[in-house]
Amino acid sequence: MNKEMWYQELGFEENPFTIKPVKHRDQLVGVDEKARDIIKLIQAGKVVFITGDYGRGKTSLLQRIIKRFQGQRKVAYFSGNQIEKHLDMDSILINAGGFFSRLFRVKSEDVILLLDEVQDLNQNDVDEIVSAYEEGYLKSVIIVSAQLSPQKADEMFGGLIGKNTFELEGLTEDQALELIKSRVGEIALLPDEVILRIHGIDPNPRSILKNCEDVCKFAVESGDEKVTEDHIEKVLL
Amino acid sequence: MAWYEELGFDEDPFGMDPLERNDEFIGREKVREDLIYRIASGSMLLIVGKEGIGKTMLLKYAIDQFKGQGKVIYIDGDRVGKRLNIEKLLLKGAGTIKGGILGQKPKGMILLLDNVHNLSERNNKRIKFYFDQDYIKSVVFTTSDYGALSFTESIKDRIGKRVIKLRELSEDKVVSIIRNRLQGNSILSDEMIREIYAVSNKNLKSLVENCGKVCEFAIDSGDESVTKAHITESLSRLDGERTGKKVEECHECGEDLVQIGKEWRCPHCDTYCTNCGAFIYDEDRRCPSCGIEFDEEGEKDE
Repeated sequence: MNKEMWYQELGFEENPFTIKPVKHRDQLVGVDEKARDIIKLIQAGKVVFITGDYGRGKTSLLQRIIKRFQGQRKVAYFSGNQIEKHLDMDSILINAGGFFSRLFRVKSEDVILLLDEVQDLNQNDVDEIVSAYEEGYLKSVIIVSAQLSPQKADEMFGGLIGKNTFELEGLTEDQALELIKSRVGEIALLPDEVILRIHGIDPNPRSILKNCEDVCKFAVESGDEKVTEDHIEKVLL
Repeated sequence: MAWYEELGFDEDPFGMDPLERNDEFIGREKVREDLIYRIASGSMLLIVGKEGIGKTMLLKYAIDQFKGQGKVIYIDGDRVGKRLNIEKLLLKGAGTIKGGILGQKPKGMILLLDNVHNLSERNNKRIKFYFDQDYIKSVVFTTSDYGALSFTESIKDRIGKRVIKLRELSEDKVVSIIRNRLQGNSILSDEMIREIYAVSNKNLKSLVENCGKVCEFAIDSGDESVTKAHITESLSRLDGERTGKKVEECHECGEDLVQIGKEWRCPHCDTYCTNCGAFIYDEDRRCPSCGIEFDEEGEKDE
């Protein structure tokens, strides 16, 4: 562990291109406007569906929503069998079966339910959620899935989603520049044309971050001051 | 007098597992560096390589490097089986009280998942969640069978191209490893080392063991250096031993028993802990013997 990492050589304490949604939830490039719209819909008590390919920022968007509402309302985040209550930063692990019923028994006020990666949610669970929503236990429900189509999701939720579907896309060139600059600022190592070149390989935010990390590491370790096409070819292509 | 004492060694030069010898990482410096970088910078990494090629050795190296900085959790998928509940292991590893409200959230853990075939969907989701929340800083998976992996798309996308493929050590490197162990003794010629390496299916660990067996056989036969005949005879004798070893059969259904720890169990008729082999009841949530937690609905996952 004596060896200095490339980013430490540049003065960063940690890897600036981390792909962890929780670490950069204040800076959500490319989905800001969508986040605002979704937050409005939540306040209006709607059921919202978010889709988009892997690495487009679905979980990051959820993190943003959690941050927005935590402390004011009960936000329940559900992924796999993991539930986190963000009311008071404590988390509760539900151990036994009957997950949803347990959740609703625990809480009586209106809860915002965030369902991450629900492609395999079965209709029974969905029906339970729908009736909890209709009975007023749930203020709003946000459903996230890369695989479910908006039509299918709407069918499963008995038409409650309607037009409230958001599809996340890859970043535009400007957004790619914004994303990278939000992480490292203006650095000579990574000129705009290189960022755009990397964006051209894959416009998904997670891929852009990973690719930037790998070319920067390679360039720094090769003793170069600037990422070049040659580095990109060696590392990414 | 032991064969190696006749050669002037105090200890069996082939007695130590390559896992425990750092100097036998010859040729793996780059891989080691990559591994340490990926763990330190926070990512998911997959190591692929044939059985015995040194995957566990790499993970042990990582444990050594990172111990004391956050929690390093090592899980051998071959030993814990499908009922593993990663979440509980993580929480236990983080020293939190099981159940109820967690006083303190684990942060920055490093999860090393050796032999990760058949990871349940539930565990996939748990790992994704803990990783995204940064409770887990980094995850390293290893497998000998790329085709048997059961990652969800979410995990696959997080790993992306971060895959290290371990290749077999070249014959020259293997020769230098064995030469190094023999410290100038010439009982094994380079050619014979290559020969044993081939017979050992290019597996470093079996090569080391087999070198010991062959040398012992040669010395016991009163010869000073190993010949091809020694290799054939000693290793075919070993083969005989291996095939001669009877796999126990279940008294009830006749199926082959599997060995877990020191116990032999029938996968068909017995209900047992996949970690230690102790008998358990269906409704047990944790093993009364080794204390490992089971996934409540583990078997129903698939």
